[in-house]
Amino acid sequence: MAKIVSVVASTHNPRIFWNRDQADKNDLEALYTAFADVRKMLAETKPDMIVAVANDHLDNFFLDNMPTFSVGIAPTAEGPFWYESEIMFLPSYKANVQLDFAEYLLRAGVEQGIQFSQVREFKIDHAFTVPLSFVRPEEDIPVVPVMTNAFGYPIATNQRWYELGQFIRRSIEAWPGNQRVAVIGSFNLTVEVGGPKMGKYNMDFTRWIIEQMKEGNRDQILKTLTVPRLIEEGNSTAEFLNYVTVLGVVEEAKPTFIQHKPVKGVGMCPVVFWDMQ
Amino acid sequence: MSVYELNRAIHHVYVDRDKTMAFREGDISVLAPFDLTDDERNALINRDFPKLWALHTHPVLLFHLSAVLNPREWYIENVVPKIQGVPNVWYDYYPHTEATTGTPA
Repeated sequence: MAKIVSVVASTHNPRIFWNRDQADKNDLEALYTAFADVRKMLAETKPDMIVAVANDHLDNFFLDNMPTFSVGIAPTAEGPFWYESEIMFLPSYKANVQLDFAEYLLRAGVEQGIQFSQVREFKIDHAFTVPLSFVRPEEDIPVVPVMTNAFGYPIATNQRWYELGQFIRRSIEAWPGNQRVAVIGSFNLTVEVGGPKMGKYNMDFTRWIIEQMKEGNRDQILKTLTVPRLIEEGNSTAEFLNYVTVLGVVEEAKPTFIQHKPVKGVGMCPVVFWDMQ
Repeated sequence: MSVYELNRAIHHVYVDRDKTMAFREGDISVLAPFDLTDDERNALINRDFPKLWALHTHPVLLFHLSAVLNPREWYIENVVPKIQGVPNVWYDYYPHTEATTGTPA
């Protein structure tokens, strides 16, 4: 059976690239070092497939048809969207999709009660390309993109996101192959996009979340960080729910590595790694 | 229905590079396929972002539109101060606390 060998949870903060000119150089260098460390740790677990979970930013999907969770099924996963690369200078990424596993995950999910849709014409937006370009820039490992909805209200409860992670873990462990699988979840902490609090942060709340992440306090996170509570602190803070899905994979395991130092001029850029071997 | 149509028009423009560039140059024909009210159409043509907020544009869509039309920090400097306390059906879907002053760095 396939085996989960490593799990990464990473920021996809676009301002790492978009605001590079005004970022504190030392902070940015520390972030690059953290990503380099995670890249090395990931490589050492020798994954031959990546299941990547990230929320769409009203790019692939619009309010007419907004899947709660969806599996990308196409020969390749490529992105980001034009404005992300041309205006925000966000990195591009292109990798093959592990089609047999993607089809298997979709069917198993639908039959086991996961709110999956399938999407066969898609791009991967920066929520995928930012983490992947940092931790596996070689683009040589096939991916299975799982897209989530954090912006098209209503949003599924945090329990559903957690169950998605549990389901991904079970599905990998039941996959009749000998693949070594990495799971990457793409998330952000407290953040508001386009709203009246944009540029402001509740740092006490953010620090509390980071403490729970460091300690692997799954139950406290699930109890406290409900969808309304997350959005109360910023309309895009629901992106943290991708981390909740990661918790469904790792359960209560404490991270092997966590970097959470903010980058002045950019914002919060957490990167977390679990060695699951 | 019109709120949805306004949001649909904005999405239609920013996901398509050619349409964005045409709109940037003042070609408003990209809005023709959409059944917009005069208020909505004028707010788009005049790039009146606070008005677009008040007309219930989804915050993320509104920011994306600004990102493709304006300099990076333009939205924070010119829109955010003018939308404080202004209702927006998408933003108000879940309750919010008041803005805090802490910054991450």
